[in-house]
Amino acid sequence: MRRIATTFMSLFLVFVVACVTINVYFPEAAAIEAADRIIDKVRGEDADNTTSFVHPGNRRDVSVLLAFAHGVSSFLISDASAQGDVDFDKPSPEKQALENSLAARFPSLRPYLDSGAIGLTDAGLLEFRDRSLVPLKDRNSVVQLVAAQNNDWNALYAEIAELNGHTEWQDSIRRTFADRWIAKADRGWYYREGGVWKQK
Amino acid sequence: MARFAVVALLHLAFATPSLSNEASVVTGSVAKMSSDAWIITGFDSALELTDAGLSGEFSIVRIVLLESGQVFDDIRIVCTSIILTTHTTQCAQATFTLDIPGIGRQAIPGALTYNQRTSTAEIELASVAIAGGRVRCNITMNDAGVDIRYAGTQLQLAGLHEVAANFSDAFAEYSAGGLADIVGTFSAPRERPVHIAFVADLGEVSLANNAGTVAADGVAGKLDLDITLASDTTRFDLSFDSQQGEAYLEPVYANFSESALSLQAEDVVTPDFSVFGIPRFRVQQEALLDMSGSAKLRLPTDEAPTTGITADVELRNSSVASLYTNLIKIAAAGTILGDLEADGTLSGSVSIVDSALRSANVQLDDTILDDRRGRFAIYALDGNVDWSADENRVPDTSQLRWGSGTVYNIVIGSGAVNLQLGNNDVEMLGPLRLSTLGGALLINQLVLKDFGSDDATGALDAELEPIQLGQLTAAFGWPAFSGTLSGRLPLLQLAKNTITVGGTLSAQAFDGTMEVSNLRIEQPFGRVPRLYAELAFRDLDLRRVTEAFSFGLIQGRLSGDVLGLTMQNWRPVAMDMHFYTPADDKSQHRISQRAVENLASVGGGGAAAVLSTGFLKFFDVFAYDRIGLRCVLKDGVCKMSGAGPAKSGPQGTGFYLVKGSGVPRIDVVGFRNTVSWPRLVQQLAAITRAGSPTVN
Repeated sequence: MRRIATTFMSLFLVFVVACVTINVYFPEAAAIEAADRIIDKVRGEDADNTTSFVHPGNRRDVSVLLAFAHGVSSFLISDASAQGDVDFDKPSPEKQALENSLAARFPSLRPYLDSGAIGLTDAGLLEFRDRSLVPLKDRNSVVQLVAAQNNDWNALYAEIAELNGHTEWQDSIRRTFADRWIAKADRGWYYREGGVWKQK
Repeated sequence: MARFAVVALLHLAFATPSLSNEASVVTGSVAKMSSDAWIITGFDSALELTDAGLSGEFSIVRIVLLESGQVFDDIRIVCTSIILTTHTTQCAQATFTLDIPGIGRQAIPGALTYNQRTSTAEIELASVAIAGGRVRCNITMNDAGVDIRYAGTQLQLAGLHEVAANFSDAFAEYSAGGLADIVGTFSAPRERPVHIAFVADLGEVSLANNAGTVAADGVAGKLDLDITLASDTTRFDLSFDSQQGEAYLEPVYANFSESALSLQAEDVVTPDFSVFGIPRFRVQQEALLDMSGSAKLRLPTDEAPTTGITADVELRNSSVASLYTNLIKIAAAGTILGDLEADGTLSGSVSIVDSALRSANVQLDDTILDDRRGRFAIYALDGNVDWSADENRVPDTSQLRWGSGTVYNIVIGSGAVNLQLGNNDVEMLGPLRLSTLGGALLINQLVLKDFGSDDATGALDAELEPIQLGQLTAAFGWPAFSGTLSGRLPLLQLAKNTITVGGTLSAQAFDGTMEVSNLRIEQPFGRVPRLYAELAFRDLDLRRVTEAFSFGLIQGRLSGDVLGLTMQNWRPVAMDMHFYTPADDKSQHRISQRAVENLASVGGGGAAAVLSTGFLKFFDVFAYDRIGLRCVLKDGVCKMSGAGPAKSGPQGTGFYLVKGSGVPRIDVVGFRNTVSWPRLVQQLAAITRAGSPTVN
């Protein structure tokens, strides 16, 4: 009985949360798909056979009833993104140019991600973790590469948000990219979350 | 403060001993002594007179130096032979046993002399083991202060760094390695600041701060330092020469093995070894760099990883490549100047404030600036540039000359120009003639204001003296057009990130005319430039056009209009393009088999099959009435039409691409109303690339 009561309480909460979040709904699943596609392109990997759709959030065990509740609440929210003209893959020449220049620069940066000299950040950017892993003579070139790559990432996040008419989504888009970069990072790469460097 | 403690102890030991009744052994003991500067506890002395002479042992439980808080525990001095004269007490063979902070306890052989008349003590420490090496010290102490002369060999910098950590945390962020031989002095006069001077021969020295923004590796050389320690600042003169190793001070990198370094700095003042005021300095690196002046320097920190520089600098024959890589490249990341191959030399004066260029008056000699992405290049650039960010100073005229250059693949000949530069402004003084493509671009007026910002404005008044179209199209890898391009650009204006051209560019090509009007370029220096224009083609000779594009021969005249042309990143994304046979064209109209096939494939295909079978294959050329092709491009799709509607057939109602005439009559009819633009471009490219016609 207690289990059922708890589940119903959870169900109630899900509805309440759904009501609260309806106005700030960010289509995270769509953002994840777009982020995966762009990240694969930048990394020079074929998007079709290397990615699988990943659900947002934690995949903890949820009871069937909760899953049902989630489904109902999603229905009630009526998926504003799907109905509107939100399309994170919406093409624009600027976006294309940014993706191309990010992809062109990435092969030069990859060795330093592999070595741990630079890492990914939770702001969806690159940052130096340990300069001493870069030979002295290459250090200022890598500083320049990282600066140029970050300029492009910032511009891309702004562009995607603007293309969808939601400039306020820029931070959510940035976080989605950051999460997906970290999720798709090679074994051994470093990423910084909440100011702390961790190794994948 | 140590000097007072030691002098006082010597007084205690030799001047005021307490004698016991048995004269052979004299002992003394003081529980505690103190002054403003020190506290000594547990002083014991024992002097013994034997047949061999006078010997003695002295011990101190603890010396505390109040100012620095340092503690020396358990100090013992053993003198095997004490010689007393009228004025001096000498201990020629002494052993000092003590704990040295950061080094540990050791017994040091040496000697000690005390002159009662001058109250001067001289201590010789023959061999102190420090940092893996040996140091010899001669210490002189009296009321005037302390002087130490020292010479150390094979000292490990890592060990010295550890020792230094006991006295100062200024270098806590750093690690060091390598060896040094050091000879120098330390003097602590009573009324004046501490003065340290030494010469160090460095071998394989490495140095790095934790962040890796300051680093050196494998450095060998000679360092000459003269330091004065005041209460709140340190002042020093420095001279450093190195022929081996490399160093990095973000963002500057220097390789001393490739170009030996010579660095002198005088009267450098620093409160904390992270910010330095340098009134006079000179840096030379063989052929790369010769720079002198004054500077304020802030070493990189975790928060600001790039070195902060404010400086007035004179440069002599310095390498443009080295200056570009070290000082400009990072700031220019992502701009058109962000990826240059640079060469040549530069002299002159430069002023930098907070790491940003404030003014420059420099001479360039035989300079090359070559964009690695192939957008532009300039060779053999000479002259002087006078520029200032200061609105109140009017710089002198800048004069530049160059041997040649390129813009994309267009080669530009030699030229010279006089410019007046302001903060972000450029004004050309006098006309400039740029010879190019068999003709020339004559620029009468050029003004740019607030360059690099969104508020940039500018004006260009130019004329194109007829250039060879063939050279222009070849520069872009297109088929060679025959003809010339000329025109006037009377009002090319830049405002709100948009270039607008007031006049019309006209070309004489293929025996006809081409005109470009209403030309406008948005975001010309942005990531995705957008171009808008209208084109008009009149009475082109189709034979010459089809020859140039190896399309298959067509004879006759051709006119065309491209209205509402919109290009993004130099690729068309929207337009209404219409090519047609002019109504008043009386010339011979003939079209070859291959041209028919090609036109048919552009229009959606099918005619080739008809041609290569049946009796039509015996004919090489056909007569035609008119040709027409229209593409309204929008959203990547071309809405196709041609020279009027054709009769309905089994495939529906089509449109004539070629309306035939005479016998045998051939009509090329298009049925496909929409064609993907990228596919159309691919097809056209394939056609113009293809070899001879293929008719079975």
